[in-house]
Amino acid sequence: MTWLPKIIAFCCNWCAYAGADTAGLSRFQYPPSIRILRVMCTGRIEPSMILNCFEQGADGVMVLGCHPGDCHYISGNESAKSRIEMTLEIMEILGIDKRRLLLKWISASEGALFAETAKDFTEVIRSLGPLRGEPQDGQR
Amino acid sequence: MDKDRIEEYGIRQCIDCGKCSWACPVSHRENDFSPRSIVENLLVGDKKLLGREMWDCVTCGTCSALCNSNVKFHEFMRTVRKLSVERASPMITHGDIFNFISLLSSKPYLRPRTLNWLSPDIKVSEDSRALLFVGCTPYLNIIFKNLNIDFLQIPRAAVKLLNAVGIEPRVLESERCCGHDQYWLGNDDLFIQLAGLNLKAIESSGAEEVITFCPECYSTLKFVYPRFFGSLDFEVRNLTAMMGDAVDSGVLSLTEDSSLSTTFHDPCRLAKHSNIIEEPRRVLRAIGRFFEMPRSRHTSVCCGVASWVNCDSWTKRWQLERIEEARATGAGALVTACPKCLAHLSCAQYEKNSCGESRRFDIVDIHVLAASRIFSTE
Repeated sequence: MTWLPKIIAFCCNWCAYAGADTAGLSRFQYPPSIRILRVMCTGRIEPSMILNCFEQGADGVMVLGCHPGDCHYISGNESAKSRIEMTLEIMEILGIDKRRLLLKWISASEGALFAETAKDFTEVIRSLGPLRGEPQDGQR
Repeated sequence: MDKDRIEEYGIRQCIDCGKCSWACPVSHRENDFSPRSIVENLLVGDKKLLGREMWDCVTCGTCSALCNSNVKFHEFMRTVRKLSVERASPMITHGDIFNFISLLSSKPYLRPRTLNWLSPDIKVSEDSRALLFVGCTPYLNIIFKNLNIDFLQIPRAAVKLLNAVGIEPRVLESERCCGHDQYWLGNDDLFIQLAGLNLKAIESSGAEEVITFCPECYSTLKFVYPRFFGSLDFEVRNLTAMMGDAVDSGVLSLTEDSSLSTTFHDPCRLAKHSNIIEEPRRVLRAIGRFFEMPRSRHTSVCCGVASWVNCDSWTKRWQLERIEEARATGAGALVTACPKCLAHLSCAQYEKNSCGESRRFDIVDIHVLAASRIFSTE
């Protein structure tokens, strides 16, 4: 049986969440490893929310928001960018591989990009293995 | 409420003298808060104890340091938190990030990498008998980036000072949070997990003494670890105290600068919890003129945010008062020995300045200041 990572995707209500919707409407396939959490803006996401995901058992976290300049709240995605940079530095000290956190801009019309991002990120996490140590025999 | 467990801190011996409430920095600000009345309320079975005041206490220990009857009020408060942890929640700062750092540090499957501060000009050794415990300073450097303070200078300065007295310390490749905040928040399970992992790492390294520059790490390793794990196989020493002794005995020479004048903010864990009071003053007197603040030594005030609880406009006012108190002594710089005090006091000043104020007062760490004054014949 193939090991399937647990991935949390924080999606901004106005762009990436709508992008995920477009992916669904367009019947683009993406792995079931992704659990979407809708937030009003990526600027709402705090480093502790990401660390909480890792603590609760996530193997990877994606933060998906509007393209720069398109934020519904003017500069929420810019705040998100600086907070993600901070989180990456903290993860490095904690010993969590930085590749387990991804920040990407996906607009409402980019359903294909959403599906592709989900697929690629799942592959990255699959190659890194579970965060809680090596997978059991036959998991991967 | 498990009364027997909290009475072990001697609360029945309270003679109602009121010294604790006179000295308590929280009582100065909040009329409703008084260590004495909390003790009294508990003894007559008032359930009010389970409210907010449980988290208002900064556990600085001023009350206990001055108590005639040896009531350990701050320890009692910690136990109340422990017993009531599910009934009231504290006002946590920074989105609870420090709690998650502690939580993730406690995972045996993660191997933290905390050596990002090492630089080529300092000497560490792999087989030294002394080990430098760094604590959460590398995290502060990331989270308080906006303050423009290089917190990583502190561990570097610590090694420089140790090098100056002939010690090349070893450092742990994978070090975890000491558990101080979790202990004082009453979160014993997580504390034991963190302490157990640290003890295992220290003991397997074979170090005979552990040196800490952070007063919180010092008081936790020195006094709290033995309470849970019995006597330790190694000695715990505080770098500020070591420096004070080394300056006195002439082992450490610091260059004096008559234009330099300082005042000292006693961190709670150093002065009141560990009784290290004179040593930092000896260091500061060796490098320049020293001025004492009215509230100092055992009656020094806390920086306001213990265990990352209750950081608000009220605490900020408290911190700004402290900076004004330091400025009024005529000293050119406020010196502290705790990275967290440095962060909190600097943050208050940063926020004040961002509101249009432009006056800045130097707030510096004692280790960084002393390391810059090491006498060199080269």
